[in-house]
Amino acid sequence: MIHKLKKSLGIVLAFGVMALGMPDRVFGEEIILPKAVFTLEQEQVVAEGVRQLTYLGLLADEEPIKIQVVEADLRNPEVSVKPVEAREGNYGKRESVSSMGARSGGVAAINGGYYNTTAPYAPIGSVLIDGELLAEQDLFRTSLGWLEDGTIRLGYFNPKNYLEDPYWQGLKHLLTAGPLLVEGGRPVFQYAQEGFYGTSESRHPRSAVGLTADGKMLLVTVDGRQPDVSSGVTFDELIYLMLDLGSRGAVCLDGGASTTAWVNGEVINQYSGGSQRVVANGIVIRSGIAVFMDEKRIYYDVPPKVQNGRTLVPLRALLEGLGAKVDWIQETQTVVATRADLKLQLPLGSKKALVNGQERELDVPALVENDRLLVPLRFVGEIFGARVDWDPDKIITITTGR
Amino acid sequence: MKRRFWQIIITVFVVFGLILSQAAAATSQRVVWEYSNVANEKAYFGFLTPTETGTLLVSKNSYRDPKVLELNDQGEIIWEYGPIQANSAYYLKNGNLLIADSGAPGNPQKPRVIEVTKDKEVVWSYELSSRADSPRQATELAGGNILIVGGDKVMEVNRSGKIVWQYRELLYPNFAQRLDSGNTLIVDRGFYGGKVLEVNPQGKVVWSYGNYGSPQKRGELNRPVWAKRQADGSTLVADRGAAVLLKVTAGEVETVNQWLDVLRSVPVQDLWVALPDLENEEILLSITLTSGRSVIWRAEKGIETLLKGKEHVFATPPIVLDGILYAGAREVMGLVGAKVNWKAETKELELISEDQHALLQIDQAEGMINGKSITISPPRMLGNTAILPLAFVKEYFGLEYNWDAEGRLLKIL
Repeated sequence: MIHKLKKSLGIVLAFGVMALGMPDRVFGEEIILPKAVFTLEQEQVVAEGVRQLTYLGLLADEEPIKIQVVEADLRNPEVSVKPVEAREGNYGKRESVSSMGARSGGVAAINGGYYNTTAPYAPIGSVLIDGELLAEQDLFRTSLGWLEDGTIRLGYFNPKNYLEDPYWQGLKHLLTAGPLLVEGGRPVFQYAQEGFYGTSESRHPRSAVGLTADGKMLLVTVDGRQPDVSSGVTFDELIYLMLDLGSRGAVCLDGGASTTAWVNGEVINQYSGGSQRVVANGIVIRSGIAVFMDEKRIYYDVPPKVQNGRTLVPLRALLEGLGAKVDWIQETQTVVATRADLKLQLPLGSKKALVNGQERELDVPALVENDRLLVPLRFVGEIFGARVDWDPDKIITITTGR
Repeated sequence: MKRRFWQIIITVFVVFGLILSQAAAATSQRVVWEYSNVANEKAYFGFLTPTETGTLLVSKNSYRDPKVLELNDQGEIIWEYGPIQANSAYYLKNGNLLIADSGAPGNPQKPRVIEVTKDKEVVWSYELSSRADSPRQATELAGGNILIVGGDKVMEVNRSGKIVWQYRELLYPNFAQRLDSGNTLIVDRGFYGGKVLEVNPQGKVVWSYGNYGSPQKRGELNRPVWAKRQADGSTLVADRGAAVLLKVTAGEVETVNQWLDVLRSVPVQDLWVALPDLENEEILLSITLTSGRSVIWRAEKGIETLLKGKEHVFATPPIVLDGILYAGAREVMGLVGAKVNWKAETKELELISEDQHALLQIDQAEGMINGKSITISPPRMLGNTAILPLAFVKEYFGLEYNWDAEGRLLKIL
C-alpha cells in the first residue's frame, strides 16, 4: 500500500502541481512516514492579517483528505485570537462554532477543547478567559495559553497553583485540549500518555492549532468519515501534517463531529455529524472592527476603516439596515439616501453634506476603497436616528431603534 | 506464583461474567492471571517489567493520577511512585529504580531518565531537551552507563550525562538491548511494518529483519515491540500487530507463540504491551477493553499446530474452551475437504462433504447429521468466527489428529 504513495507522488509532480507535503526522510526506496501529499486548492484573504487556505491531499494509502487552514498573523496589531465560552442556551451550556464566532465579532473560528457529552456539558480540563478561571480540572493534558505579552504557550496547567508557576506568568487566556503534536518543529508522540486512546490509531475528523516560526497561528481542520472526500487522519498523520504546514509547536483540539471551521459567517469544512454540533468552547480570530446592527452581525468584504478618529463602513448594509433607499448619482459623484421625508446627500470626497437641503459639516468625507463606497458611520447613523456604540474590543453596536 | 489459585478465581469470574452478561464471545481460558483497574479510572498499563523477586513493575498511565506501581502476584500494590507518565522502569542492582519519564504532558514535567530510591528520592537524572526525544525505554548497561531509547534514536549516556554512543537512523525505536558482543539490538516500531536491527559500535547495521513498508504476509513485522538474541544466534521478536512471537534464524521464521485467540476472545480497544515470559512460555499482555476497563493478563502458551509434520498457522488459532479443543469452522472443514454454509440470521452452520451433511447451530448441543439428530459439544463464536469442536470433526468428518494437552501441541495427520 505504501508503494502506491510513490506512484501518486510521481503523478502529482509530473503534472507540475507544487507538492507542499512531501516525505523528507526516505530510507532505501520506501516511503515510511505517515505523511500526506497535499496541494493548495484555494486561498483567500479573510481580513487584515487573516488568510484561509484549502488543501487537498492523499494519505500514504491514497485515501483522500481535505484540510482547511485559517492563518492568523499574531504580529499584526489588528489581529487577535482568543477562546470563547459557550453561552447557556437551548442546548445547555453549548453553542455552535458559527454562533460563537459571529457574536464575539470574529472573522474566523474553530471548535475548542473537549467537553462532557452529558449535562451540564462541562469542559474537560481548564478554561481561562480574560484572566478569569471559568473551568478548572487538573488534567495531565496539554493546555494552550495566551500570555499578556502575546506569547503563546503549550504545556501542563495546574489550576491550583498556576499563579505561582513562572511558566504561566501573565496568563490571559487558556484552554485545555491535547495531545501535544509538535514541539520545537519536531514530532511528539505522547497521545497515549495524555489519555487519548481507542481512536488514536484510526482516522477521524480532527482539529488542531499550530504555531509557526514567523508568528502565525494556524487553526486547522481535517474532515473525516467521508470516504470519497476526506477520510480523516490518525494522530500520527496529524502530527506530520501539522509539521508540513509549518508548525514549530502544535496541539490537537476536540475532533470527530465537533470539528468545525467557520469563516466570515460560513462553515467552511464539512462537519461529519450531519448537522453542526454544539460545543462547550471555541477559538475565535478577530481582525479590525466588528459591526453589529440590532444584535445582528454585519460581514463586509471591504473592512471598516478608521480615519482621523472616525469610522467609515461600506454604505449599502448600513443604509439598508437603517431602512433608507440608496441612490448613486454618477454626474455629481453623490450618494443619496432617502427614508420617508428624510433625504441625505453625501458627495464623495467632500466635507459638506446636505440633510434635507441643509448643509452639514463632516469630519471625514465619504471615500472609495477597493471599489466600495465607505461612509462615516456615526454621522450617517445619527441622521437616521440610530445610536452608535463602541466597545474597547473594537466592537461597534448600531441600535437603529426601528 | 500462585498460578492455580488465580486460574480458579478467573474461571469463576469469567463464568459468572458470562452468566450475567449473556456474552456470546468466549473469554480465553489461556488467561491464568489478571490484574485490572477500576472501570472508570481512565487508566491503562503502559509497560510491564517482571522483576527477579516475582513482582511486576507497571506504569499506570492516566491523565488524572499517573504512577509507577509495583504489584505482587496477588495483585496488591506494594510500592508506587508518582505522579509520572513513565514509559519504562527497571530495578538496578543497588535496589533503586531506573525510570524513563516521558515528561508528558509538559511543563513542569520534563522528559528525563531518573534513578529513584525506594524512599522516592531522585538520586540521578538525565534530562532530554525536547518531548520529541521523550524516552521510551532506559536500561542500565554492565559498566553503569544508561542506554536510552527515545524519539528517533538510541543513545548511551554515562553517569556524568555525556552521550558516549548513539545511533540515529531510526523512525520510532521502542526497545533496545546491548548484546554481549558489544552490538546493540534495536526494535524500531516504525509507522508501517517495523524492523529489528543489530548495530555495531561503529554504527553499522550488521543484521536486520523486517522493513518499513506495510506487512503483506505472515512473518513480516507489524509493529514489533520486543526482541531477544538467543544463545544459538536466533532472534526472538514479539510483534504487537500480528500477535505473535517469532523466532528468526538465518533465512527462516518460525512462530513460537501467538495470542491472537486471546485478543479475539474479548472486545479489545487497545493492546499496549505484549511481553513474552520465556521461562514460563507465557505472554504478558496489557489491554484496554472497549468497556474502558484496563487489564494485565498473563496468558499460557498458545496451541502449536503441525500439519503433516509442518508448522501450520491458522487464521483463527485452535483454542481450548471448557476443556474442549476448538478450531475455526471454515479452516478446519477445509482440511477435510468439506464446505461450510453460514446463515448469520439463525447462526446456523451447514457442513457438506462428499458423504456427510450436517446442520449445527451456535451454542446448541443438538444437531443433525444426514437427517439424524445428534448431541455434541456445541459450536461457539470466537469474536466473529464460528468455531467447531475438533472431536466432532474427527467423529463425523474423519479429521485425524493427536492432541497433546500438556505440551499444547496439535498434530493434524
